[in-house]
Formats: sequence, structure tokens, C-alpha cells
Amino acid sequence: MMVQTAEELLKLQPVVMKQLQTIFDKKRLGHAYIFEGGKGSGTEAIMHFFVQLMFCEEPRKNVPCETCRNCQRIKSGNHPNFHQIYPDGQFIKVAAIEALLHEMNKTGLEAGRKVYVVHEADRLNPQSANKLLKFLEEPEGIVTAIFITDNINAMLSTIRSRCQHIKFQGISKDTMIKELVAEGITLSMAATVSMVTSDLEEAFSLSKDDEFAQARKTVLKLVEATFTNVHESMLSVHEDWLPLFKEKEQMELALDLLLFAFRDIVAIKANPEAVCTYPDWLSYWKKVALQTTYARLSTQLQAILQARQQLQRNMNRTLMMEQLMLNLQEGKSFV
Amino acid sequence: MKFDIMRDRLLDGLNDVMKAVSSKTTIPILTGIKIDVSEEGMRLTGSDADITIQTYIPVEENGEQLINVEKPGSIVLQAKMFNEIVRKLPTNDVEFEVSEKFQTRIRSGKSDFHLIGLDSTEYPLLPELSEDNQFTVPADLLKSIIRETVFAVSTSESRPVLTGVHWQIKDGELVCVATDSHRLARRKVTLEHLPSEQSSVVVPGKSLTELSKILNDATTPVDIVMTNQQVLFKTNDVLFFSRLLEGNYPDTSRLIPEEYKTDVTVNGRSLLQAIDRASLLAREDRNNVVRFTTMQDDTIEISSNSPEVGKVEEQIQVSSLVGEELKISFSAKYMMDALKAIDGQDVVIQFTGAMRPFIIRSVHDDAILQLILPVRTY
Repeated sequence: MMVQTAEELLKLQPVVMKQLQTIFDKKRLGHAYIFEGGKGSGTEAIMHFFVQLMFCEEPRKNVPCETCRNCQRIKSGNHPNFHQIYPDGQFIKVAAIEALLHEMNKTGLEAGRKVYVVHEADRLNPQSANKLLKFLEEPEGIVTAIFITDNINAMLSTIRSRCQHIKFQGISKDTMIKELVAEGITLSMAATVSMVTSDLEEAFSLSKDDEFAQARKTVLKLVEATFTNVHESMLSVHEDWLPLFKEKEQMELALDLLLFAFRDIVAIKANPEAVCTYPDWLSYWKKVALQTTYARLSTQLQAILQARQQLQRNMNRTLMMEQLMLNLQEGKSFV
Repeated sequence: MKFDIMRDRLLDGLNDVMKAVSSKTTIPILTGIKIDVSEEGMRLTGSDADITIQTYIPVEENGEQLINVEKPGSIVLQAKMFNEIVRKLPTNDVEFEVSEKFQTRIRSGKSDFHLIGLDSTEYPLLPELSEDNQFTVPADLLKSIIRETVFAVSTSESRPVLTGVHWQIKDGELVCVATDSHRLARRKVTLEHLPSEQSSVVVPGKSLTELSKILNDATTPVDIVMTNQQVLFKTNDVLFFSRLLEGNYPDTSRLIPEEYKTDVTVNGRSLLQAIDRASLLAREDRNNVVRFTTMQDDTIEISSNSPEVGKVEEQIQVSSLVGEELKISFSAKYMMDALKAIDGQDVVIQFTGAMRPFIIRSVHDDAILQLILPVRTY
């Protein structure tokens, strides 16, 4: 992770930083926060800033000094009252939560506040989340929890309702596309990557990435095939899609790209002037949009989202894709 | 930092400190041992966050020079590695030198190690404990207090505060209570020089078990300091810190009945053996419940009946049996734990009915008191 100074963070997330600094200044630290923000919105960096601020021996103007013993130890991960939990594989497992509770139910090794941070909190499985609930609600001692997530809706509502919600702004899409185009990226590519990530640097490297360009092409080819006929799409799945997207992450990305394509069609159908993920395909979208109904598009979007979930559950990829292709044809005769 | 030290003494100190170091810790610096050298002596610290053990080696002892300090300082060294190195050094004289960037040089005879140390300021700060609130317990008594209470702590984390033993100073007495909400063990000790103000802590059962491992059986005094954050047990050279459990311990004084309907006085050992035998059959059934029945002529019967396994009955002559007749069932395990804690003396068991908790204590006093909840059987 990049070390960012307080000024840089303030520029990145002015609202959030002001909110957190006011909380600290007025000494109104809550017992639990959810930091919600996508990639590149600085959740991690700001969490570190906030934790350091809480522990710092002599903060100046609500900015941690970065040099005192506590600040140093937060940075090196050696502060005994600061605990972090990461997902183990797909989920944050019960064992991790039990270890945390075991730790939190004792007085701190050093006096003062205890802080725990749950990274990718949307990956708490229901058992783990429920295990944490009681402690979250009635913490013993002075405790602050921070949950970091990019999708607050994937968290258990019972956890959400017990936390203060702090929303991080992503970089606006327009700004990002402008920046990318200024760097010499084509408009169509810039529009696509700006959907995938909100981190400018990641966007830049993605748009230069051949693999990503190939993925984009393959996805669009499949979209075209699904609107032609089912045999064509099956063929495309087997010939292009499956050999290209071998890893799970690649598959996730590909399904997201596919979802954006259908989103484009819906957007165009609703408003022919809408901003697309694939502006270069605008004329095709317009053509398809005329031939289909909202109801059908909605089933198709659902089918893709369902496939995305099944991927998380490690469904056989070939079967999953074949099923998806059939589902996308729904309402259309096969012959 | 630069000093020489006798290897034997360093190794003794390391042995104690290593007991606290765990490889499973989440805080990287705790995989190390902290070494502080001052003009007066050397302090070694090891910790797994729950417990912290510190040993002290003075510069001189009994007219013998143990450490030769050239330049004081502090360093943290990887515990496992350091321990192994010291263990295998060729001669009894060890020379340490820490130069820039925590480069540590350990020399002994012809062998010359260079270890990369860690910054000692990263190591957790131990609380400064004042001496005003301290009191003293002989090591052997402390060990028996732990033995008599710690078995009754809860093993389930659903109520974390019950996984500890409640130590309370009240009216010139130290009262230690452990309960898992099915049984309770209480030990009272009257001590001299207890701090006058009332104070209480909940010490994790695991920490006490660890503590009892490093205590010896002699009557050497152990100084105890209780604070809000940690509790400290201090013997000659070893300091044992433990974190405490957060939260309020439930008020257990009202659980103990004040009047009894049936009093039985019996030899603890013979009762223990009878219950052990009865539990042989009861154990098969997963609940391990035995039945206790009062009979005529100062006799009681211990029985157990598991329809699929068989049944056992045994009558025991008791020293006295006063009060109402009674049939009661309870867990054989809890009863055996309680009787073992009281340790073979004649015991008094006092009941207030088949559905009410009963207590077991020695005939002489109620310094050790065990309370068990009966099991309802149909």
C-alpha cells in the first residue's frame, strides 16, 4: 500500500477526512464504523490515518505526528491494542472471529483504547458475523471497530445497523475518462476501464494491458453471438471464452464486462443519449435495444448476476457458462 | 549497547521467559525477547500478549560478578533463535554488542554470531505498578489457591468473564471464586497486610494455570499487585504479568444458600472413590449423572442406572446424617472435581432440597467451599 500523507488523503476524500477529524476533535469516537468505498477510494489509507490519530501521543491539528512510538508501531503492525482481520480464502472464518473476541475480551496489554479492523467485511460469513454481533453491540472496555468494505449491502443488516456508516466517494467517471483520454487512451477503452475500477492508476495500467483488451473483445463477441442464436453463443463460449478466462479472477472480470454490456443496452433503450461502457458499439446497442423488451433484459441481467454468484461457489465453469447462455436465450425459441 | 554475561545465568533467565513466548502471536514483535541492560543488571521480557514473564539478572550476586556492563541499552531478538544460540554456545562467557541498525553480535570462545535485532521501542510497554497496593502470599499457598479454584472456570467463550477466576479483596480477606454457572469453587484466605481498599480483578484461568507451572512448592513469598489493566505476581527474580478479563463478574455471594435442610458429614476420600466407581457406568451415558440417597442408620447410597449398560449401588457409612431425607442427582465429574479440590479430608455436604444447589466444605472451616447444581432426573 502506498503511504499517503494527510494532505493527499484530504484531497482524495475531503468529506470523509473532515468528518473523521471532527469526530476526533470533538472526542466523539463511536464504537463501530463502516468505511465503504471501492478500489482507489483510499479506505485503507484513511483507516490507517484514523487509527494512528486515535493512538497518537501528540496529534497536531487532528493529524497524527507519524513519529511517536504509537504511530510507529501502528505502521509496523506491532501495536498490541490494534488488531486486524483479513479473509481466509473466500470468507472471514469463525475461527478468526473467535481469536479476535478472545483478544478483545481481555484488558489491553497497554492501557487505553483497543481498535480492531475487519478488512473486506462483506466476506464475513453469516456464522462469523453473528458471532461478532454481541460483542459489537456491547463491547467491554473502550473499543472501536472499523469494518472496511466495497459493498455495504453484502453485509448483514444486523451489523450495518450497529455501525456508523462512512461513505467514501469514488472518483467521478467523467473525470477519470478525461484523465485517461488525456494520457492518450482511446475513448472507448477509457469508458470501459472506468467502469471496472475507480483507481486511476489501476485504470491506466488496465487500459495498457493486452490481456484486458483481449477480454473486452471476447466478451463483446459473445454478446453479439447471444443475440444471433444459441448455437453461435455456445460455440463462442467453448472456442474463445473458456480457453481465455482460466483463472477465477479473470472469469469474474469477464462476467462483469458482460454485465456492463447488457447494462449498456438497458441504458440506451431508456435514454439514447446515455453514457455507455462500450461507446464504440453504440450503433449495435441501439439496434438491439429496439428488438428487445425491458422484461427480457431484466431476466438477462439477473442470469448474469446469478452466474457471478455461482462462480463464487466454485461451480463447474463450463456448466455455468452453458447454463448462462441458455438463460440468456430465455423467451426465445431455440430452433 | 555492550556487555558480557555468564551463559548459565542467561540460560536460566531465558528458560523462564521462553515459557511466555508463543509462535502463534499476531503481533510480530512478540516473537522476540526484549533485553534491557542497565548499570544495575539485565532484564529479559517475553510475552504472548496474554501473559508476560520478566526475569532479572543483577550485575553482582553473592560477591560474584555475573554481568559486566560497558554500555547500557535495549534490543529485541528473535526468541527461538536466540534461545538456541545461547544454549549451544561453546564457553560460559558470552559477549554482546549491538551496533547500528540493531545489528547484534554474540561472541563466545571462538564462535561469533551476527543477529539482526528489532527495535526495542516497538515492544509493548508494561504497566508501571506501584508498590502501595501489593500484598504477599507464600508460593505454596498461592499454588493451592489456584488448584482449588481454576478447575471450575467455564470453558465456553459465550460468557467470557466466566473463563477467569474472580479475585476480590474484601474485609481483610482474599476471596477467589470461579464458576461455569453449573458449579462454583470458592477459596477464602485471610492474609496480613492486605490493602485496605476493596478491589477486585478477573484473572484468566489459563494465565493462572501457567503461573502455577512456574511457581515452586516452597514458602517463598510472592508479591501480588492488582491494577485495572494487569495483575502482577512477583517472586525473587521472576515477574509474571497477566492481562485481565473485561467486564463485571456476576455477584456470586447470593448463590450460596444460607440455611440447609440436610447435613451429611463423610470421609471425602471414600465418597470420592464411591462416586468414581458409580461414574464408571454413568460415563457411558453421556451425562455422567449419579444419584445420592440418604438411608437409615447414618448411611448413604450412591447409585447409577443406565438402562443400556447396567446399574451400580454402593452404600457408605457416614459420620453423621442430620435433617430431612433426600434423593438428589448430580454430575459425577463436578462432584469428583470438588472432592479432589478439598483433598481427602472429612467433608460436610449441606443440602437444601433436591432441586437446590448444595455445598461441600471441609469439616473445619469454610475456607474452601464448592457448590454444585443438581441435575433434574425423572
